[in-house]
Amino acid sequence: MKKKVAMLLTAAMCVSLAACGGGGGDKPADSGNDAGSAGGTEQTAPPAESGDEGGDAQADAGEPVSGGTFTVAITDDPTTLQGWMVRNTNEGTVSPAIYETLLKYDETGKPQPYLLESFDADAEALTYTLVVKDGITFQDGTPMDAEAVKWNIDYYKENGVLSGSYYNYVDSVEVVDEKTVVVHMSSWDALFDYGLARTCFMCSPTAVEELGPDGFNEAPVGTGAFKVTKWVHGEGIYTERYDNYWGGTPYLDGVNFMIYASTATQQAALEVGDLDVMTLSGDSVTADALKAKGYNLTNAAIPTTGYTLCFNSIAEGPLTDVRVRQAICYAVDAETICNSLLGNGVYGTSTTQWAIPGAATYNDEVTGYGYDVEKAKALLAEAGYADGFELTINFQVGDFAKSVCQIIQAELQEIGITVTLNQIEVANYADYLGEWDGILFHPMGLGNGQFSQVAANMIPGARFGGSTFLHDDVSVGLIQEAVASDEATMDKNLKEAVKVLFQDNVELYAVAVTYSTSVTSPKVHGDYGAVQEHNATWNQLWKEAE
Amino acid sequence: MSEGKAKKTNGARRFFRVFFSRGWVTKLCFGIIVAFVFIAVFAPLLTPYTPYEQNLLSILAGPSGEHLLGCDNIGRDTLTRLLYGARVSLVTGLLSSIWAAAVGTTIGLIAGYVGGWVNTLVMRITDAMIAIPPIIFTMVLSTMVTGNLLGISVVIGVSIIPSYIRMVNGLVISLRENDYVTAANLIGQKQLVIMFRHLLPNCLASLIVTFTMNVGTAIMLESTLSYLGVGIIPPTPAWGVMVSEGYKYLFNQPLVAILPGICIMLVVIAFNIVGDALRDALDPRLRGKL
Repeated sequence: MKKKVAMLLTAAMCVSLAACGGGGGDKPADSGNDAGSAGGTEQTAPPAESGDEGGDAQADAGEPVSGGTFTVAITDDPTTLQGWMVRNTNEGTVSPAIYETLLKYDETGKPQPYLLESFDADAEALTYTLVVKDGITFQDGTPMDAEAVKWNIDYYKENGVLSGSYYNYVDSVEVVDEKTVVVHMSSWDALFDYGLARTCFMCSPTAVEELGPDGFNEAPVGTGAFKVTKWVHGEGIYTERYDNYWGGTPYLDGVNFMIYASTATQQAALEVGDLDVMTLSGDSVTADALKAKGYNLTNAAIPTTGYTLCFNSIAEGPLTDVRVRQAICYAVDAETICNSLLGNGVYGTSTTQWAIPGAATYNDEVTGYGYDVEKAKALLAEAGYADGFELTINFQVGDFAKSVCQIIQAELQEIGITVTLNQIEVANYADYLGEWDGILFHPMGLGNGQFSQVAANMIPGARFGGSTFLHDDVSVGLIQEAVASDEATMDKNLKEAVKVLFQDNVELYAVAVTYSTSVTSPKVHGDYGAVQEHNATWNQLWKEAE
Repeated sequence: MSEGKAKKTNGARRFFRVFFSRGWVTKLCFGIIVAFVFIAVFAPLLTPYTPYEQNLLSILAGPSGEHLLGCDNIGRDTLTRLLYGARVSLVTGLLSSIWAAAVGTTIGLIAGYVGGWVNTLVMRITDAMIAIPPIIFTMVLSTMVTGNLLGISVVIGVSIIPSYIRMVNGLVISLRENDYVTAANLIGQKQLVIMFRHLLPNCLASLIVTFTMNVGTAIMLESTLSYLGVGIIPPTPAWGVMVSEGYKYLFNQPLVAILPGICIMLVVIAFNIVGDALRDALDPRLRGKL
């Protein structure tokens, strides 16, 4: 018996080796080299080549057909589907099909009215006036009117997971008529529209009150094109089309969000047709491989994540010296990292801040710190650390973060800094957001743009880095004045604050900005993730018949 | 040649004859272990690279003259990391097994010899520890240590201690009834002397077998923990870490994940089969071929 088992294992090993031989000749890393130029001059990522091919294919695909189910990959059960609690990636993948926001980001990352006819600001009167579009209903048939908007803003301010960041200055909400709502601010918040576009998914007040928050979590009701029919925990979320969707009846019968825990299993499912779309971020190898196999790739126009070295600049130790922080920046070859791991700019790019050149919020005066090991060594010596020191880099579990941190670890070793990597599980990551030892390699979400993130996070009392950033008078003063002023002053001040944070004080060092890449089956047509990751023009998505 | 020396020589001959009489599989596995130890010890001499050397222009490159087994996801030589990975596996396997054997044997020996409520207490705790799946047990413990070799070895050692306690305890309970133990007691030998001079040597054969098999188990546990991200932390070249980092590219550059997987499989199987062969060679009642 044992002999048979041994023979069987040997045979299995031989088969594995044979399989290795077959794939070994491929060089996916090379394929990225001809994929295109670096990030564009607008805040729009250059579309991946096959995205164009996909466009041609779509043009040839003929008239849209109704029916079929669209399957989207998520990596785990969402922790919640309550609109006001949505925060992480899996929730962010599912929610846009169910819920919609009053404003939505355009391709430049600026919020534009979506469920609204108009959105008017009056800084002097400290009011925002919102006029709701006609004919929008929630999936339970109740109207999405001024009362519903008031209920939602009040509810978000009271219960929202990000209320501390985005609803601080909301004083009261007044219903003027059936369509019009006036939001009275206690103090002017020039970025209120960014908060509404990012976090305020419109939930049906009737459903929340009838079902209670827990019941609503299992059967959420929004204004989106698809309504949840069942949530099988550990398996996925099933939806069906909402026939009375205000934008027009969707072509698809339903959209299912199924759990595939890893990129490898998602790729396998996509290739056998069990999955219609998977989303990649910072993974040019898989993206290039799927592109070569004929799948459609679409980069989100709005950069998704800004991978950033966030320095603990106030805890006792070498990092309190700005020259040490500068030295670390000089020692990190961000451009080569991005070229190597992000397909030479196709799937992401190096930059000096949380925006890419050409974007409205980009500050040209922030020149960053180019790769210069000698300069880094000189700065360390000048700061009294010629022999280096020990440093911890903390990062949240993730393939891209792990790769980049290991590269940075090796690069810092060259200037004598011995780095210990501390990998943090996703569930524990929130504990590190307020305070960390050494450096936090943070994946800053850029969906709502640089200004909004700087204003929300780089102030005293913010949940992020509250005990580790300098919060010096200059940057904080600029941010506070910006938020309370008109658009021109806000633009000027926040750009200046970005310069202080990234260039002068070096509290932050942007290593890479990545775009989310949606990989869709060639049989799928329509926009999925073209503007912002996981967002689609849901009612216009359609799928060729099997 | 004295009679004692001749007996020893004959015993060794018989041992090797029985050990290798189990067929080519045992010989192959023994060869794998020898090669594994050789590679672990002489890794720096077998490759021109270090396991941390990166070439960002060779990310996930396939096999070539320069890199015989290609490069990983940040351009490190896969062969080099495999060779150094053997060192990590060997150190973890041996360290954890040695310290678990030392602690487990002592506890099992004392509890078995003393008997009574001490034995009952120790064995119930041991039963409770055995009831917890080792992987869960080690995952929980590993959160309390940093992901270095020593810390992980201690954690893995804790999870395999019960196997030594139970094995030694069972043997001692049976051995302590022998006449030579009674005789030693009657002539007034100290309890510790009886335990460590008379009982322990009679457990050695089984201990060697358990130790060998536990080295394989420890390597497997270390790889699993590292794969799950709670064991050896990157960039240390552990095979489990390599599988974890390469798994994502299974369809696009399978060598990166499959090669360390094969190494883990070979070494663990080798230790188990050699352990089996040792048991046969050391126990005359269990002679036979695989």
